[in-house]
Amino acid sequence: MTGAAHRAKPASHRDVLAARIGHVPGVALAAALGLLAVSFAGVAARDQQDWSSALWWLGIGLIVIPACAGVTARRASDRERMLLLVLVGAALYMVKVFTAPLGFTFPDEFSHLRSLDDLLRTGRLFAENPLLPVASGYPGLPALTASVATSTDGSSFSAGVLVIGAARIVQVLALFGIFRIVTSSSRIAGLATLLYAANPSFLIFQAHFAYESLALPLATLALWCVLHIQRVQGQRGLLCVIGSLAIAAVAVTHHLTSLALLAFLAGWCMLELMTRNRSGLRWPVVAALLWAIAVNAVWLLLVAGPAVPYLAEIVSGGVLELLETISGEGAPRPAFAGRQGAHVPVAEIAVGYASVLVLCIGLLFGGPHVLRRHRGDPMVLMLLAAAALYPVSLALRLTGAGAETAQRASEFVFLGMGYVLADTALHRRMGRVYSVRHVVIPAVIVIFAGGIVVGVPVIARLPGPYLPAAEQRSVDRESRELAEWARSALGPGQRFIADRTNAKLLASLGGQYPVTQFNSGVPTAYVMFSSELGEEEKGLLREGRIQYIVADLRLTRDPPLFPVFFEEAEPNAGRHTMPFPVSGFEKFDELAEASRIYDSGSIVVYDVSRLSAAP
Amino acid sequence: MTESVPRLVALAFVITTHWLSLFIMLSDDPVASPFGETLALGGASSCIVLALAGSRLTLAQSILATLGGGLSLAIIGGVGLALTPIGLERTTAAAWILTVSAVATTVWWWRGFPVPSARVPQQGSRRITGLSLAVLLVAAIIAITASLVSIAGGRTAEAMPVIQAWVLREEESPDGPAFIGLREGTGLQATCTIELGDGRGALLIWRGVRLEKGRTWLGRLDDPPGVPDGSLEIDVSCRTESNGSVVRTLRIDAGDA
Repeated sequence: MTGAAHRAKPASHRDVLAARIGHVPGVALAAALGLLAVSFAGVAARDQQDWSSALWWLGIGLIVIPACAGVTARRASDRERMLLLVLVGAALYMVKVFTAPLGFTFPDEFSHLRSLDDLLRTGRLFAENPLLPVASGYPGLPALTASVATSTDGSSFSAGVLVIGAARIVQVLALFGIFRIVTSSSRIAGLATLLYAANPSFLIFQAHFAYESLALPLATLALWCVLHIQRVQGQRGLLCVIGSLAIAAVAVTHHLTSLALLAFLAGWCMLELMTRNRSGLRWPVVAALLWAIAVNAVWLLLVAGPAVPYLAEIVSGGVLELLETISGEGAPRPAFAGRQGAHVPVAEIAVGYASVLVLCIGLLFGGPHVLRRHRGDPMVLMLLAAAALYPVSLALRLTGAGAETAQRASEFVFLGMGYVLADTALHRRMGRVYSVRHVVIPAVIVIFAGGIVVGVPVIARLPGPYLPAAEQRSVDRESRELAEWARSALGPGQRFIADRTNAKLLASLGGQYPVTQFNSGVPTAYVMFSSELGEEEKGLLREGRIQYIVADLRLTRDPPLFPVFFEEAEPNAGRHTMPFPVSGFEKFDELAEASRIYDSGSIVVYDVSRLSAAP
Repeated sequence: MTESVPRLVALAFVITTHWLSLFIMLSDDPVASPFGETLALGGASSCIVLALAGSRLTLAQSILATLGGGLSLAIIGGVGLALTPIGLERTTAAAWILTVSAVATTVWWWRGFPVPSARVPQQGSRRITGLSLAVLLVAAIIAITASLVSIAGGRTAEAMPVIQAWVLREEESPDGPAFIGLREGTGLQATCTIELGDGRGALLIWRGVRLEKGRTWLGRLDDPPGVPDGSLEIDVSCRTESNGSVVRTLRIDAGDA
């Protein structure tokens, strides 16, 4: 009787809370305080306060550590872990938004802003993109963002922030869904998702307004749909529709992600057919692969053909340089001498190495462990294969060209690393060896911090005063005003020579056409570096049909933080130790055919149309 | 009969909203069109809410289905429509509305058009204590504060006047030859003294010039006789209402104006 009465007793508020949302309110409060710390760190960084970086790290810690504790808690429910992961994914996205809360500043974002602007202005797809020609064949992001901007009557910036934010939530949920099905444990799935978020690209690069930031979540969604159809009863018709749409959407949104998805599906399909796996149906994987082949083939053949040589060049560049390094023909790239070679504190370098060490140890022990446990599971084998690419990506970081490939590969490789490490770390046998609180959570924190150190240059984490040739830190009001002046005073479509930052702004906000070796095959940067305008330089002006030249005098003050002032095709590219030569700009003042038509103090524009029109 | 009424009302509401809004939106009426977009967005949102509340999917599955499926459909819909002769000019919003509502309606249809009122949650299963609600509310307020701090920080950092001087092209200055333009781009109001010279002495001085964002101040160069057909130096000294002073020496070639 007593026992029956006890069983019949209604659940207390505490029990209900623990069952439904558990740690969510506390973690949400910590994450909100973390965001507050990050926002104040941004304010302090603009005032060049030394403690801004420490405050920023404190904010990141407040977002990640409580969430990690909540996700790995033994008693947490599925829904609680899911909410915690969405919370941490969204909060980390806001960290990126806080670096530039008024407009896009990262270089890649301007490339896609140009496509969006063209679409909103003309209503037509596939307009030529001078900043990233290959992007014109992948209009998924601008089409979607234009829809949101039009529907809400919002700005391009706010629509872009909304779209990528929505994609971030989709990615976190889809990852959790995939790992949940594979591991049958929401705890392991939660940790695997959190470890994925520790990849070097997640905080900033995957939050850019760029086609990859949208395509990758949709590719993850497609994989979740296929896996769900394969292994879980119910909802198959609906998920067939969504999965097919997601695969098609990826194909028209981003080249590399669509190829990665295709490769993953091909490998998965092959393993499904080779093994005697009875964990799920085979037809969903085969059908998904056939559909992916069909849509990608159609899109590549009809629209996006130029993407093939573009991708081949990126990948082969890194691999060739790695082979040269291995054979001793080339010197290895120094560690932590990123493309934005700002000073990296010793403590951060130590954390970076520690995270690599933890990941390698995890892979060394986790790989065989996972292989033993799930030998016959094709999906697990594919995740393991992705994880096995991690050491390869480390090797690529030793080369200049490969470092970018390795950075971008991390968002694919960590799909496997997250699973392998989480499945190993939280396996019940391991619970007898160590406690999660004392070993797993600190390890995750080290991996997370290391991912940020490796993947996000110091100057990209926080806003701050103008720096010459320093990517997002070179984007300031004066350059933006130049772009807007060019649009209103000169009209769009004028042909410019401008440094990398001003070229990005002129092309996106100003609607202009900066002429470069990259987009036109004319090495216009050589015109700028020469101290005199000789016949060779005049020939380049004519060849590029250049109308205007931008001289940003701030480039003459300090050496560049980015390897180039203009583009890869410039004298001494990647090895600049001095500021841009003043004579490179001054020569235009001495030319009667060049007219100084604009001055805003730091930026001068010359009209050289008479020079380039001369026979 | 009683149970079917809310279903019919909800269905009628969604269908009417969508088709009415699409009809208005695709018309070329400039006044009606934004109204149509707003209505359509509201309709799509209501559809999502009904779909989420009514479906028997888990929360994660519902979000993935509507949000992920919606994004995918919007991309395919947007690109697909743009490839047709209709183009995207007036159809981006339509594509978005159509695709989002299509996903939501699919989910809804899949579950046999259930409505929220038809589902009674288990007693106690959805109870959240007042304390956790309060904590969530505080968290939301702090997060909003963080956003406001971040935006205010960004605005403060950019609140220095940017003074631009340029030679206007002939088509931009039909009233006379040789103009210079000056403007301030940050949204601050600045009061300036502008001194025009040729490097040897002042030719013209304008005092009390108000520069405002979005408004170009034009200075005529044909007032004094003998303005050189060459380089002009413009000394601009501006005082803003809240952010101190700024002094610039700008130089442009007047000969090509």
